[in-house]
Amino acid sequence: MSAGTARLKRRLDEQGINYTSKKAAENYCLIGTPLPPLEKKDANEFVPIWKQDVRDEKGRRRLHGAFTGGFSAGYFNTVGSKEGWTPSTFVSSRADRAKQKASRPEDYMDEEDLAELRENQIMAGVKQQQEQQQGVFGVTQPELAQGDPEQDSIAASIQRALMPPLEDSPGVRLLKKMGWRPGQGVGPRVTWRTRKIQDLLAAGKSIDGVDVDALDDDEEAKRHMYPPRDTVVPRFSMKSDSYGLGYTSAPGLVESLGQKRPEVKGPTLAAGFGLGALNEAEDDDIDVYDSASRADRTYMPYDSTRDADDGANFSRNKSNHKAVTTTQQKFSNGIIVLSGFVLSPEPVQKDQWFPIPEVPSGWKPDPRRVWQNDLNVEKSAASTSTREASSRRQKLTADERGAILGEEPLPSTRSVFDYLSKEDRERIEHAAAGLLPSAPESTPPPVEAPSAPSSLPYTAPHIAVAALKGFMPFANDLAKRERYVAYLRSQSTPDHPELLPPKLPGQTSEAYHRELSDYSKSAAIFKPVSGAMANRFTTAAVVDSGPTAIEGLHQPTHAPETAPVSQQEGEREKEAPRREEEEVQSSKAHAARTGMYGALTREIAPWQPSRLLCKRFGVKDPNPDITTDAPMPGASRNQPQSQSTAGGDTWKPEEALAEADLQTATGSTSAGPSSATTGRRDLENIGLGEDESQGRDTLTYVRPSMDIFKAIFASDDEDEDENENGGGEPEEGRPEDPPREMAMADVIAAPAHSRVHDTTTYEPKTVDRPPAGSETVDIATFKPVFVPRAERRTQKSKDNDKDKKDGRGKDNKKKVKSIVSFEDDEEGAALVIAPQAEKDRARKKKKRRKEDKRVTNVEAAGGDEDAEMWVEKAPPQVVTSFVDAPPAADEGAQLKAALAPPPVSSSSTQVQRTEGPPRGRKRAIDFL
Amino acid sequence: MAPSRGPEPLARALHTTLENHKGPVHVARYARGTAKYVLTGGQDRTVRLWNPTLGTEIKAYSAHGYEVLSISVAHDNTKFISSGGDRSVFLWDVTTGNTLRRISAHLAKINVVEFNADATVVASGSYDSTVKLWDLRSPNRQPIQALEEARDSVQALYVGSSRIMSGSVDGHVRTYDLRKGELRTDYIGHPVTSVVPTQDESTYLVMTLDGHVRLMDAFTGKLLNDFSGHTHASYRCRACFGHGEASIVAGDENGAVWAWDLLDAKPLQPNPPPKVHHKVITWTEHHPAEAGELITASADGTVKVWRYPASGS
Repeated sequence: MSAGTARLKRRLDEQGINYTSKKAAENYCLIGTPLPPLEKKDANEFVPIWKQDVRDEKGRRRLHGAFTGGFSAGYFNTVGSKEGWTPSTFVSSRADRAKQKASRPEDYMDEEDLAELRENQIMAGVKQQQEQQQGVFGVTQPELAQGDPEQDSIAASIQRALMPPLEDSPGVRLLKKMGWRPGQGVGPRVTWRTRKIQDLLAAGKSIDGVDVDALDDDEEAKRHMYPPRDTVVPRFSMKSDSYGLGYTSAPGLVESLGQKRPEVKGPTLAAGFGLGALNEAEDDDIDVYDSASRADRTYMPYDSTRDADDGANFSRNKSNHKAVTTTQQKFSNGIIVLSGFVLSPEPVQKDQWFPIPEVPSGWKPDPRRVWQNDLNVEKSAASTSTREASSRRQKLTADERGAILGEEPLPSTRSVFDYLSKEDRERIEHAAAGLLPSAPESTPPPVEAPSAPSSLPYTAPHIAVAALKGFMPFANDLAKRERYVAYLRSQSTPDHPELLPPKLPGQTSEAYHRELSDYSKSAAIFKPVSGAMANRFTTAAVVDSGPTAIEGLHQPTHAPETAPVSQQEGEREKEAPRREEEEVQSSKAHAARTGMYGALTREIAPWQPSRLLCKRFGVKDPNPDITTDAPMPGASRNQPQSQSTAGGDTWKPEEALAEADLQTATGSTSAGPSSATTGRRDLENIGLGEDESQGRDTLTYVRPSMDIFKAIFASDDEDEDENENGGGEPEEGRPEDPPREMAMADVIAAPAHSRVHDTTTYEPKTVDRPPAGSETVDIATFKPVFVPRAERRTQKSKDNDKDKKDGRGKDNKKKVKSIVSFEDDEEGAALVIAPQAEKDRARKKKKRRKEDKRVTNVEAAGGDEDAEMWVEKAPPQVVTSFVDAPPAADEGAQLKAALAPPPVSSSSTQVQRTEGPPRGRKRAIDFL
Repeated sequence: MAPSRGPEPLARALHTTLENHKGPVHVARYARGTAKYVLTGGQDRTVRLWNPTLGTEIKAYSAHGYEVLSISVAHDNTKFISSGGDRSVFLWDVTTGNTLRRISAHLAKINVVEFNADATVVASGSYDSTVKLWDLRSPNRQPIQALEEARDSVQALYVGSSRIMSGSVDGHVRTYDLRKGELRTDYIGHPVTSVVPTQDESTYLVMTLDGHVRLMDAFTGKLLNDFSGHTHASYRCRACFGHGEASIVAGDENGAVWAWDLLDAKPLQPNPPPKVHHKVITWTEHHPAEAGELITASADGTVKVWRYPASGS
């Protein structure tokens, strides 16, 4: 709609019709809905967001932008005048002071504000009612009675009298209508005694220890019934902690010392620059030097002890001290406590010290004795353990319960212990070895009779098998381990009970049974976990075991203890090289520790100051080549210095040209600067500091002789001239002979530079080349021979004459390897391609002409043959045209050209579109 | 005074106490030139300008939103920079008290800022372990260069004519030599809290958290002298040279001002020095020209000006 309106408006404007006039807006519509008038805004018309404005219900603009008054500011919107507030005329109030009424806030409010106010009043009303209800139902009275014990009843009554009477809530009004009076609770009348109890309860006291009957001293009072007291509305305090209900935390250290708990509060931040709502008072903002001089200190960084004797001590502490130190305190042994110190009422819990065992004289360490002792202990423990076991019968594990209930044990494959590292396992084993003999973890299944051999501990065969495959405990007791294995074997093959480990000599049947049950439990513990669980564990790489202190005199235990010791040594040996490494690494640190500052602690590294920094400091840039300027945001650091026109993988014409030029002009056979040294040159690495060959081609660039340029570029002009002369000369390929050969040399040379190139493209050329005109070209030594311009021109004009004479140049046919050959025309072979070729050529020609101009400009500017005058960009463009031109000669190359359009396409495509086709058409006409 | 005659005794008579700061004072710097004024910055987010002779506060500069940790005064005394917890460097005009520029590109609080000789470049060392160099000539928001070698918070900076030195908590003193284009990293081994070179930049004084002040050779990185005795384990304190670079002055965490002979590294009398501040002395600076003047800033909220008894009255 809006687009249509706009268009209509435009058209009317163009026709000079004033559509705003009444006449134009007159409505002639008889049937249907008339279109909306042009002037009036369509409500649904799209308005860009910056044109939209906020209006209130009366259509007034409400927002004026921050700099034009802000929200609802006074520009004849809300207040009296255009200038703002209506200036009120001065009226002397001297005569009628009494009438003068103070202006209320409402006088200055507009209707919106008033509406808001009214809303608030409504809200307030509701709230008030709620408050009243609370007040009526007993909050105020008990509060007045109990909340302020200091306030006497007279004051309370005065306060009550002075307080404005509260308006009744509907409930109260209802009650009043029913005969209720305030101060009387709801419910039937009660006795004096009950009322007393109620009073007590209302006061928050318990009636447990109070003799309620004793309170009824008044005989008269007992005879009457009283209205009940108002029900106390229980007030619940918000729960602010995460403890359970009813939990009161024990007083902390500070509180138990009788001091107030310091309230931790963050520092109040000033409204500083850059501080928003998100800026919190972090730890940073807390004063690290803060000391106890402030009541709200959080921690004592350094002066907790030192400041005790400081002159400027803290008043709070002082008062405390004074209170105590007035009475001289004494230690238990009678020593007077130093002044300034307080004897703690709580005795300090002493560290547990174990007395050094007295070594009897002539004592010799004999480990065997100890072992013997251990064995005895084990035996005695074994005798007691069964008793203990029976007492702990109710402590059943899940497995045991399962066994009682006859559940199928869960299938399993691997044990958790497989995932433990070796050290961990050993630790567990040690722990188990220490624990198992004296206090077995759980009881044997209670179904078994302790002594019956038939009810020996049973392990399910699959568990036994799995345990056999899994981790083997008892590594430090090989005999025990063997027995364990034997037990497992016996359990895995239940048909062979004879495999059970035999009773040890001197072993009671109870001990034997216990041992076997240990094995059974071990098998259950160390059996591998099931597959699902197995994937969740990985073996620990490092065991973090700190030094463990063993209290008391070290007593050598069983012989296998030596194994871990040697292992520890092994670890130590392993750690040693690591430590050495660290030492080497931190030789610096070592040197610093020993104070050997100097060469050991000093590292010197190159550092590149920014160029600007050097400039600011007035220092010469130490490495002018390197630039470490901070890159401008958005700009890439790798600014390509020379513009590469071709893609990374495609053949690069500028290189070929440079090479060809080098080879042709100077005859040097050295490889090109870019192809030999650096494999790849593309946008990524070109122009970088690391690129050694950067700028070399500009430096080593030898300008080719003028003839090349003339040969390349002058010919076109001539062609152009000829065309413009209306010669209708179709044979423009011919004058390009030398450059084409040049280009061919380039192109053929290209594969030599390891450029992938489709050789088939050139086959037609070589095929087409007439054997007479082309002696075999040696690429390496090829040097184009140039004919001076004037000479050529004359030659060409001669040719032209000849052409004019017979219509087609037979000589040309032989010389030119062009598909635009009239021979082909005659034969009707390449007719399809010919027009396109023509077009193509026209395109290229146009381009070439353009570049000709550029090059001649360049030449004009840098008339001398100075290399630095060469704009680096020029060669590629020249070359692209230069290279593009020859492939036009054959079909394959043309295809290639079509596939890979020259990078300077913006201009060339333009040319194609505008100039190419007409010329091609013209040509066709000419030809036909 | 010639250093050969031994260092002069330290000015130990309290001249004035500058105590308008609420909370700890983190830094106190003399103005340039004749150094008649003192600038202090503290936890109360203000920078205050004082006349140390009269002990009066001239001006308070408040725009910081967090504590002020460092101040540096421009060569012509017209501007100064300050930095602190709000992660930005403020460039102030001394007379108007306005901030001319606020540079905020550090990621953490800026512990130290320094001007270069002609106040065209500002170096800021931050808790984010970088030193950034800012061009004051251009309004570029990006630093000229960021020195990111430090592995921990940068606590000390010195900007000389052709070198920038930074001291970091990682225990290294890094000297960025602009003229040579090299970075010399000296490992001290303990968190560095101050780096103060001599005027000829041939040696520098490093104060570290192991309770040592070391005089290092700037050319070889060798230790020339080691001064100890004071308590310094947790806070940033600053050691500086006394008058004529004949002595070393440092405040310690007990509130005592220590002085050592530069040559024999013995503490000057009285030893141990009396406790003059209630808390840690955060900054010690000797008057650049006057022989007997010294200021100490402390966490107890005061800045004390010390002079000889005679010259004081």
